[in-house]
Amino acid sequence: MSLQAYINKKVLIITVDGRTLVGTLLSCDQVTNVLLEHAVERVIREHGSEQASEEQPLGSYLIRGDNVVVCGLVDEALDASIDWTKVRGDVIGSTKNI
Amino acid sequence: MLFFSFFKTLVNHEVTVELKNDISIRGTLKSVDQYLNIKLDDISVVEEMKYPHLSSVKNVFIRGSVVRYVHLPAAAVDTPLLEDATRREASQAVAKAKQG
Amino acid sequence: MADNDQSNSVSEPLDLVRLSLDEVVFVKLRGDRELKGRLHAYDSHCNIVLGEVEETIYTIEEDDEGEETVKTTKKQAEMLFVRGESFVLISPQPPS
Repeated sequence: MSLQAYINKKVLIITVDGRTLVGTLLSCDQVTNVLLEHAVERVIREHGSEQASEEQPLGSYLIRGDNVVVCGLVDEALDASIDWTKVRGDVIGSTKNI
Repeated sequence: MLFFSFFKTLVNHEVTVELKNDISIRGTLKSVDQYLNIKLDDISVVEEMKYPHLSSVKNVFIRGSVVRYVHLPAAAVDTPLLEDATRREASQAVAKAKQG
Repeated sequence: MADNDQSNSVSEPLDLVRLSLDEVVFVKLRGDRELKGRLHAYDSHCNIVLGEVEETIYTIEEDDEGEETVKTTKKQAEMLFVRGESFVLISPQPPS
């Protein structure tokens, strides 16, 4: 199966260290190494934070497979309808050593 | 191979995958591969207020290595069949080990 | 050493697990988690499937005075696949 079905589409990746990256999936392989184009890190602030959630542009990113937790296919219409600056959530924990 | 085959019998059933980072994702099991990577469709995060990160995602690939549990519908699991398959696989493993 | 038919003896660690099939077992996992449930399947990676599961999670909570107490949370699950990487030990007898 792998991620072939998501190629050239907008994806959201959660990494082992709890970061959220969004970008266009250019390529992938058997061990889930992924190449993202126009990648941004979506920083979601904690509940009660005054600071706006934000996106930081990163450019092209190659993420090594063992750092990938999930890779989701973004519903672009739904994604555009959400004002991500106002979204609040918990910090995602690490998947290491657990 | 036992669990790869087992998960293939559960395709199109509703499961909840609990990850090692404590996020639980519920969805319809769409596919599984030899690494037990899992693809779910029509997903929802169980504690969405805590983890809104996947709000705009409906279809997700989960890397097998980050899975803690998969909650399965008991009605979809034929336990005697599963136990027989386990014994068969265990005796095959012993036979292989003896061959060196 | 008795060879050939070893189906009822324990000569390798995983033989113990084989003899526990369809029995209630106690499983300890990484991250201060324990499971009690009926063993329905396992493989050489110690991936397992348990039925009628009771999960116990131990977390440390700190009160206002910095006093640490252990909190236990219990959860039930009807059927659970457990990834082998989390697996620490399995025992046929739950600790009393």
